[in-house]
Amino acid sequence: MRGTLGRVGSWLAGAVALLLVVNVGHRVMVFNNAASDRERPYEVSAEVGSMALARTFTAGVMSVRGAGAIIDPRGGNPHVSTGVWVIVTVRAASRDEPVAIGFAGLRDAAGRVYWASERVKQDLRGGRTLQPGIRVEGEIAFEVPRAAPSGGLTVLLAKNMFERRMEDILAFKLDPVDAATVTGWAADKKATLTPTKVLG
Amino acid sequence: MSAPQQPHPGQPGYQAPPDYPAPQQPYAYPPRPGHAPPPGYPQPGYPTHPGYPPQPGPHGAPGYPGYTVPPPGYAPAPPAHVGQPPADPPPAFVLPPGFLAAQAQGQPAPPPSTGPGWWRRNWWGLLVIVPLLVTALGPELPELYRKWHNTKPNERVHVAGGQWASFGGGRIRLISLKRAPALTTYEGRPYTPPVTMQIWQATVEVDVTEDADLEGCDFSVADARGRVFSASPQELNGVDVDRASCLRPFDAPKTGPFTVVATFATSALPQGLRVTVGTELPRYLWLTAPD
Repeated sequence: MRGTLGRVGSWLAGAVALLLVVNVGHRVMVFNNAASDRERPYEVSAEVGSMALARTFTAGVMSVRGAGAIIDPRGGNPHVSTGVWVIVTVRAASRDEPVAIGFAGLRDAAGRVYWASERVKQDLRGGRTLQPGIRVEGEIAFEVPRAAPSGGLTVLLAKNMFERRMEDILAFKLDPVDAATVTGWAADKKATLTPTKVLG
Repeated sequence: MSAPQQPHPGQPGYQAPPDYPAPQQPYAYPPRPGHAPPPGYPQPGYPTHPGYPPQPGPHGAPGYPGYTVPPPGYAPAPPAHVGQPPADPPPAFVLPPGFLAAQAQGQPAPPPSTGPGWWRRNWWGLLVIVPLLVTALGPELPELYRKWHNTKPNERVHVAGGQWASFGGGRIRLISLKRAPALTTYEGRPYTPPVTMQIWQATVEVDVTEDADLEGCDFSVADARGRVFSASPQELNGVDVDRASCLRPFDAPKTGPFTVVATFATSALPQGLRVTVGTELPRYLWLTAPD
């Protein structure tokens, strides 16, 4: 009789211990705010000037420049920034099927991410469907505070604009830029974005 | 008048109370040589309860084979009860085979039996994991499969040689898939594509009634590696080519087939034309041109 009760008690203790483990694990995950961390994008780092492979496309950041204002080829007043425009030249192609670069961001040293600007027409970010094996080159413009480039910026490129959980994201770290260079960028009030073109 | 003083446990003459509990089964096992008896085990010299086996020290117990002297640190054994035969040990009290012989030869006792292993003791629990997993994941599998498979063109319907194919409530066939002739821009200037790019045109005949699903078709071509190129790509912005569609052109006959020309920019030789219709997924048409 006692043996049966003992076994039942052991099983109950085991079940309670299992529940405790699951509960503690869940609380640890919640405590770590793990949803955003656990499902974070897979970051693929690459050097400026080299191409990197994402799951659906390949891309590389070729160069970077800056400006104080961008002139829209469609007309209107120049888009003056109270910070500074950072303009990166991107080369990209899809891998297996038509795809667009839906997300382009610029991450500063503090981890803040600035999306590609909606103030100017961005041909390569979102609006361009890439074809397999056909490389195109164009520019993407970001508007950031003037202090941001001196800390080092990282260009981020991904397929989806919003849903980037567990998706790969390309990261290109730009060299820090000194304050004098940033001031020189800001003095340029007549910059234009180079149209996207197919590379020959 | 005071009651006679009861000797302390361990002293001669001490009598265990009538309700003295029998030791638990695990403690009926003799202690290993050189180890103290576990808690609850009667100490040497403690009178045994009727039916309880005498103290089986490492050297045996009085009245039992192998008894020599009390082990070091043990109190002297009490004198044997006169006129009272030793009680038979309960069935659980069994010395392991070879224990006494090993003791006599000064060898360590054989290890006690450990019983069935963990896998044998928990085999049914492990077996239950399988139906539990199936129960937990099973209901979701059809939906997961549907999302993965049924919302993309995964099932090819091959129609070769320029034959008509019934699809999406209409008919369609591929007449030709050829390199595009000389193209011009909207301004009338000759257009020369980059050397990394080939321009191909598929000439298709479509026979579709109004509001048929086929009107919402999409054209693409695929190369030998399965890479897919969409029609009217932005690489051809500014080039004077038609945007391919299965919608009946306003200047086409109201009934019967009409012709569509779809233009593609590719980086390799296309092998055939893909026609996809959202309502027909996961099926899609794979049309190859006549030889």
